[in-house]
Amino acid sequence: MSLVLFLILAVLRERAADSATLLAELRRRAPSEAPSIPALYRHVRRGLDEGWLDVVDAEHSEGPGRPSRLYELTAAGRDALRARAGELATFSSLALEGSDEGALGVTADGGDR
Amino acid sequence: VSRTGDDAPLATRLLRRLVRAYPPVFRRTFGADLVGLHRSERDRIRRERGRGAALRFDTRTVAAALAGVVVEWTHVVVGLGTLQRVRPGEGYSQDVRLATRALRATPGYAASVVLTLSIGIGAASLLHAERDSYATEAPDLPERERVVLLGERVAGCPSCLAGLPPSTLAAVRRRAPGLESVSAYEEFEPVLRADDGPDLMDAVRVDPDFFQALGAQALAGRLFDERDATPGADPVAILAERAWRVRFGDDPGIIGRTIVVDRVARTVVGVVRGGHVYPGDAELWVPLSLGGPPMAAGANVDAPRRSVLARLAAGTTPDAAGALIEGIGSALDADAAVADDEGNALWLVTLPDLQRLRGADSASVFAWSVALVLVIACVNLGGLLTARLAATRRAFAVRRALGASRARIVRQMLTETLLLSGLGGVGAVGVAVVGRRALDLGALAAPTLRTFGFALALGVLSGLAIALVPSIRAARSVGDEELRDLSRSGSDDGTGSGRRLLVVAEIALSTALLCASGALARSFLNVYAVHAGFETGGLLAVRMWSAPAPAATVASRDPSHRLDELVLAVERVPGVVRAGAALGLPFGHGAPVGDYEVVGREPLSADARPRARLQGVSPGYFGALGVPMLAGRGFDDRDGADAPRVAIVNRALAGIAFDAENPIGRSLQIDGEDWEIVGVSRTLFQGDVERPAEPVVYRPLRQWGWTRPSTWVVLRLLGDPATVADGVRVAVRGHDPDVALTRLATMDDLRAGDMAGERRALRLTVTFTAAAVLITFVGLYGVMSHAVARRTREFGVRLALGAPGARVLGLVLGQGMAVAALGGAFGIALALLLLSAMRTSLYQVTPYDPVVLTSAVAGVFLVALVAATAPARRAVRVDPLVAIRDT
Repeated sequence: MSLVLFLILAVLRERAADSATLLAELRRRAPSEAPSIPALYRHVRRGLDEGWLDVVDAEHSEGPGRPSRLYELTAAGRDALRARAGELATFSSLALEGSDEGALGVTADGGDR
Repeated sequence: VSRTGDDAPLATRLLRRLVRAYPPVFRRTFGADLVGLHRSERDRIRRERGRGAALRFDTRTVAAALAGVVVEWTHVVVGLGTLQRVRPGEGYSQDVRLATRALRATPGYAASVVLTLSIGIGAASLLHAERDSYATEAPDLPERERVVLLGERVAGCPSCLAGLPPSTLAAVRRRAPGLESVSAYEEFEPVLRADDGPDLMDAVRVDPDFFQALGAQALAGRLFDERDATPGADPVAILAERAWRVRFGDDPGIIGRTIVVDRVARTVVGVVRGGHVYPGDAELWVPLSLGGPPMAAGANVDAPRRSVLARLAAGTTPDAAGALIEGIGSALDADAAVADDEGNALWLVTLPDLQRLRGADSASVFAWSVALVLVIACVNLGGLLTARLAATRRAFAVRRALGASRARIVRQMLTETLLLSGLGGVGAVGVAVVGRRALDLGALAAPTLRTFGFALALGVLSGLAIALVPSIRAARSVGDEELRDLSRSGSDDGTGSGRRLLVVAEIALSTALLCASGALARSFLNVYAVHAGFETGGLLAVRMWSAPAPAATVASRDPSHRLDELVLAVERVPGVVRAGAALGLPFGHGAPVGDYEVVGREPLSADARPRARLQGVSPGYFGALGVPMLAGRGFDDRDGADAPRVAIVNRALAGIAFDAENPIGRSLQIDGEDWEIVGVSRTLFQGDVERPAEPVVYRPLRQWGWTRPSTWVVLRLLGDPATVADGVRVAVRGHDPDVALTRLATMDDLRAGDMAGERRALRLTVTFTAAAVLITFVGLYGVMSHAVARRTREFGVRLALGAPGARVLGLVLGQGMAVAALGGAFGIALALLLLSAMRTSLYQVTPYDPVVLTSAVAGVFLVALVAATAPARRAVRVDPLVAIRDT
């Protein structure tokens, strides 16, 4: 699972969202990882293929703009998100192992030293 | 993607176009969202950060969309995006188990796919084997692209090369500096005096530098040189490696050994390496100057033409040499003294190119038939897989809903297809083996491991290619609503109409193939219906090949006496009623052609003289054939070697040369001698349907002289040909140990052999047509079954409301017939094109032959009717209550 898809699942874990919301959230949470619009849809397609996302509303509308699809996390997506988060946590702890301040120059909670 | 108007920014318009290039599923799912989101984001960025930021955003988005097109299509076509996430080896055994279980649950589908693949790939394997045999036939010579053949083009035969007359050969030798070792050769069949009796060999008379032209090397001993061709030189011979091994048992002392060939003792001076043999079946070579002329001296036949081989000089390309040769041909045409009578153009072709042309020539009918069967098979396979995927869609949707990944489902589907493809490949091997026997392809198409590998590879690859994309599409996740729709058996996902279109295409191709088979069959029957002019039943024909008599014997004894004695010896065999000898026989075993003049008329120039087949016969020939004279008398003992020259003409020649005059008593001048016509015979069919009434002059062999090595003896039998044949062999061997029996066949078999080419083409086309029709039947049956299953509820309701069974039956049959009619109409259009292309292969059959076209359409309708009947009867038997409850 790519980092972008991981982030998309993380956003959807909290609430269902359309593509505009997903894009805005990704830009806010990880500006350096935020995908282009076509790439965003590629990751969404992948999530749908894997059965991690589902379409709740095909014509969701929150304002005057054109309606778009509303996505939500499936049970399988929740499991995948949990598994990936575990992998990432394990990876981080292994990377920081043997140093109070972390070998990578970051603290365990992710903040700059 | 909806249009937003011409006022949309350039980037949005570009993006809209790019979205159209995405795979359809992606485009339908995300296209509108993608363009809309870009537009709103762009507006926001421009508002908040200015025009420059918006432009950078546009550029980034358009570039990403461009990359997306490639990525998404790769994902769809190659399936990498899906498959790479499956760990190798994970759950394969489970996939195989699931696939096996699924196929056992649907034996009809499995059998249809395996049958379709077996027939389609089996046919392709046969073609592969046939082409392969041509490729291996070419000798494996060093720098063989430098070996060229020279000759004259033959109209209507792109791979035929006629030999050159001596004058042209001399001109080529003088004027073609780009060619080395220009060497003439001619094939002949000498009699080898072997330990176990006389036997015929495939031999070649060659110029001394023949092997230099070829670039061949000796396995043992030496090749020919100039001294071998000088008058008075010791007779020598060179053996091919195969002949040395098979005929002389690898004799280590073969070099220097004397062998008797055509009564001449020759010393073997060399053995040519197996791969360097040319022509391909040659067993023995002798120097050309010592071989003597191929035809009888004094026979008024065409000047001896010989095949010519040469080697391109270093640095000369085939194109340059070809242009040079064509130039020489044009110069010769302009020179009246050596002008070619028939005006054929000179042609230079490299040995590999000629082999390729011959391979392509021979396999063309075959290739077209196979290609059409393969197309029909693939179309049918596509239809079957589509139906299968439609049927399993609900199961897949449920599995997806239960958490199975798309990759896993695609892999299971591919496993199922691979299993079927493998079985189809194995079945194809069976089809290739049986087909080779049934089609009598002989040694040309001996199946090899390579052929079988080809069949299996084709099976697996075609299965994967056809199944991959539909599998990926079928395995996509579906929403709850769609799942509910899929649960209703009456739903149609659009595959019904798609499959109907595929079946229309199949029927069209089958109709065209049926027309081609019908036209070939009709042409074959037309040729066969041409009457031979005599009763072919109860006739045995024996071809005797005699080594030329030694000069001393010829001088002391009339060779025709030896023939008379031979005919008498054969006539004494129990079961033989009458025997007669002839230089040639009908059905393509003709005598030479020459010209004649009617004595007493204005002399004609050589070019203007009429030509006829010049036949030499013994007195018993007409009696053995059972052909009475229409006028005058036949030959008898009066017509000895010293008696006045007499001739018999057939009715065709009498009509051409004498019109209404009585030819009896008139004379023809042939070879400078006058021959008085004493009889007129019926015109016998020679085997050439284009010239059924060929003029023939018969002359007594005793008066012409029997110096031609090959003679036919015709026997009118009372007994069983098999037992008579043994007696004939014994009689001939007892009479002369240097006479080999090279052919022994009934006249009916000779006639069948004469039509072997037509028979083979017909057999191939009919077989592949049958295969195509069978596949089409399977396809149509599948479509009709699918349609009936889909409309079970509708039929139930109709029957419950009182509709008579016949009406429901008519509905289903009507649907099947509509598909057949549409396919038939396209098929006729295709057939007209196909038959026009085949025009030259047909005899008295036009592309618009109503019998052929009507029969083909009727055949297709019959197949469609049979294919639709079983599903239609199922529709009538639907229990209304059960149908409504179950759907």
